[in-house]
Amino acid sequence: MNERLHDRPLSSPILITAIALMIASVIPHVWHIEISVLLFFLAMAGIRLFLRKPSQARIRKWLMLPLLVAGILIVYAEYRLPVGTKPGVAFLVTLFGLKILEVNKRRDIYVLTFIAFFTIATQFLFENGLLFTLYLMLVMTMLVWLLTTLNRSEPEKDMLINLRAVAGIVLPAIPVTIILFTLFPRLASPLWEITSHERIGVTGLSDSISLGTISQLSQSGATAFRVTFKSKIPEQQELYWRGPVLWESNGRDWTTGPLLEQTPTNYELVSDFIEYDVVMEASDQPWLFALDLPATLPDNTHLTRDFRLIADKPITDTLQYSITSGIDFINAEFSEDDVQRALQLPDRTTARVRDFARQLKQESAGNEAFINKVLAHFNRQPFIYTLRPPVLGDNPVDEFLFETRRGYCEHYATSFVTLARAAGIPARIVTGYQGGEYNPIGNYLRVRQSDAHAWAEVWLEQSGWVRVDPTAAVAPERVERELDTGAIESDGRLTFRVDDKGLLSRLGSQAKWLVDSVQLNWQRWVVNFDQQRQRNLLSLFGLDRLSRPLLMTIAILAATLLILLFTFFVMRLNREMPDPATRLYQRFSAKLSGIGLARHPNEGPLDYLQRIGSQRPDLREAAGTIIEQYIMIRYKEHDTKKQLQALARSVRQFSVR
Amino acid sequence: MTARTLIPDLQRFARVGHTDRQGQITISPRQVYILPTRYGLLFAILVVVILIASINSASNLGFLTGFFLASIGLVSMVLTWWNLAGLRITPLSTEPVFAGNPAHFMLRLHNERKRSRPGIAMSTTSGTTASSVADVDASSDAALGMMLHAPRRGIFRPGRIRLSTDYPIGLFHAWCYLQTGQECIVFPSPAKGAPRLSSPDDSGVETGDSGRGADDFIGHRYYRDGDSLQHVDWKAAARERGLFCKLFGGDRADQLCLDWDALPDVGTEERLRLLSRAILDASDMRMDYSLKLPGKEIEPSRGKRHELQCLTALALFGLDDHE
Repeated sequence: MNERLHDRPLSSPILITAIALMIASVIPHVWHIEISVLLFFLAMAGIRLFLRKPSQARIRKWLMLPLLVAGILIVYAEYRLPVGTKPGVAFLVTLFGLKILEVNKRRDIYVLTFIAFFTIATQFLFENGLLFTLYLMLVMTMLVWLLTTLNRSEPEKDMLINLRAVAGIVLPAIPVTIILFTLFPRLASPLWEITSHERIGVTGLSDSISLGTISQLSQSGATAFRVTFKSKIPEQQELYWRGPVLWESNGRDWTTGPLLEQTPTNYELVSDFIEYDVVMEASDQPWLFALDLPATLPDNTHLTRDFRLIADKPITDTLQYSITSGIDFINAEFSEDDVQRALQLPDRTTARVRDFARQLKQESAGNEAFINKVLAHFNRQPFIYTLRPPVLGDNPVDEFLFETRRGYCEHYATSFVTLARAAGIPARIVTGYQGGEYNPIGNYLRVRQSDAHAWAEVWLEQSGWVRVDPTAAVAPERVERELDTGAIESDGRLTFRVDDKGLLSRLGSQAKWLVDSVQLNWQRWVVNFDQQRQRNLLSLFGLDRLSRPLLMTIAILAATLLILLFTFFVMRLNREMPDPATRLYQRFSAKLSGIGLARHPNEGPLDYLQRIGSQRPDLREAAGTIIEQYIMIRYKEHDTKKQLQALARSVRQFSVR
Repeated sequence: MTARTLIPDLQRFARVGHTDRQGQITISPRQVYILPTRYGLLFAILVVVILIASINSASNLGFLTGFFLASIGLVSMVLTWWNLAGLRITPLSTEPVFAGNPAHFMLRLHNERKRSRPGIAMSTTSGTTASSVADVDASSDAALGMMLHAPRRGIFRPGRIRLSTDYPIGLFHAWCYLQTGQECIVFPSPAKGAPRLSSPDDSGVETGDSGRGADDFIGHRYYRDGDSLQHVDWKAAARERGLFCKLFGGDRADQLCLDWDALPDVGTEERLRLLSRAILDASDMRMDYSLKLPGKEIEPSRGKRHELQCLTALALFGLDDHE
């Protein structure tokens, strides 16, 4: 250890740089922990910068204890006990701030930098975006740069040149990182469960509908999931991503009721399967989304009798799954119990609603005719599709159908199901997502939170459960267009996708698609690089059947090999280079060694010339010129470039024959 | 098990760089030793903690962080070793010192690469000596020195010298041993009081005594406190050229003979210290002096070279391993 270097006090440029980097490593936590904790951290950094004279070290020492108490009190006030991810991180940030306060010497920067590395690792508990990761990698690189300055004698002199030296560390580290990342064996399950694991992401679709409250429909453009189809992409109007199925209602709220855990048995697939991969963002909910009837299931999931795909645990991280669906099928799965549930009418359903349903039923020939009548009603009457419906009272279905007639998918779906049930047709609400934006660059479909949708399913004797989307029946001219959420297809159907007109907006879309495509690959190959994906990748090299310890050994060997390669590369590239004059002089001596007149290691140029002259008087003149030129360059600093050229010429022309 | 605790045990088996015929040392890559520092160990623990946490939360970006840091650590290991390997060193000659003073051992470091070699430190093998730290720029030289306390008169050899570096990021400590063959002559430290051993010699000296006699005018010098007023050049003072003092000299000078045998028997080292003081005093007074030691005699003379010769004789007195 270079005790002396590390005992040196910190100069102001180094201190300021160090504190700036510490702040850079902590600051993204502004989205993750309480702001007061972060302000405390910034205050500590500020105090350290303000009291940076060596004479003020004592004041900082005195401040330490009261500030420690203050920091702990802040964490306690915000979180009570520091148990769990967020309070733990808050506590770490608090201690980090206090550590900045007591930094005095170069050695203290080490501990600080290591805490910063750890803090950066904690950032990934909350976020995993590409830009976010790149930013933190950059901060880590700069922290490495900070460490290099500590091991120089005069770090302030060439701070920028040292920045180039850091590239010499970080760039060779990248392939080693990739090798270790790819080959290191992944576990299917964690080593131990963290009991209070909570994680805040964008919360996905909920499993209930509450009419009459304010609009719950997500306006967020955040990605819900991305889908890559292995076969051809189905039509937009076939893309109904099924989520929670709502059976029970009190007239205002619709819920799933008890889960139908048994697996469905009684169904028949008619058309081909559709195979696709889904990369789903964290939702904090256990359900996955799939088209219609999932035929093959991802690991750790099960299918309920109402065809809901449920994971064993809530999705707290981005999740990737492969799945096969049948779009065209006959689903005859129906029990007596289900009939009762699918016909349950809330007590508060008004007589007006019941009468209206009964009237329509009498006018129609069958159940299908009834359904068409209801849809026609939505279409012909002045129903308006809007994302800002009026607030509804205790009987939202009644008020919507007969008074306000303004609403979005949830209003139409609940009203439709209520009418169907009142007419004696088993019906249920399905929530999920509809459609998705196709990304031609990445060849995948992106489904956003704003694509959230609710529709209905009714049970018909001949065909089983059939999807009905009452929202799509609303007359196109009565859709209140909001931002880019709603757009109307030429056939008058209401769909939810962006329309692209004009070159500029098309270029904009291209750029958007590209960015999103990069993000998908980031999610797929880095964030969600799990055991399965690792196995798939390794199978390309025939390494997929290796046991975990063997794979670990291979990972370490490969990294070692890369480091050896790097060592070899470094040795070749940075060889000691004698200056050109010496090299020319050596070549001159090499020519003479052919006739036994090599220069002795200790021989000065003039002595050498004398020896040459005495043994080969014929060479004296030529050798004399060379040695004179060599001495001029070596010992008298003249215009060496010209001299060098002259020396090179003389040596080239020199011949012992 | 950091570098510090292991180094003394390993030293006996260590490879050492020796000077070549040009008096230079080139550190071969195999002569460079490397171990993690305690920061390196702390860093390794940090990486392991991050990786275990990542396994547990199945966080791929945690893995990425951990592996990125681990890779940086591995690359830095190679670079630390390479920072020292291939360095060429010229040991510089050492100025003699008096016992009790620090001897200054200097090296010149030649970096023949197109990359700088920052943070190279020099110490003794015990590693406790403070030294300067040099940043050797690309294709250039830098001086590096260390001060060692010279306790006794004689020849002081620093023994093996240790060059070390923690660059780039201080996780690893690379070092190598050099046998530079440097030595420093240590004069006996001069005694406090001067001995009474002047035996004025009445033989004339051609050069005279330069201003200490009073017979002939030989020149001017500036007036100093204590000069006789009789010698002030009042004419020059009247012409406002300043206060000058006229110097007079005779043709005879005092010549000292510093004789070992003339000293009281106070022990060898004490006698040498007295002689050392006498040589310094005689030099200060610009007198000629000769030195007589048992088995060695130095002719009367004066000047820096003479002084050095005499002091060296004192330093080496009774030591067999030199000459």
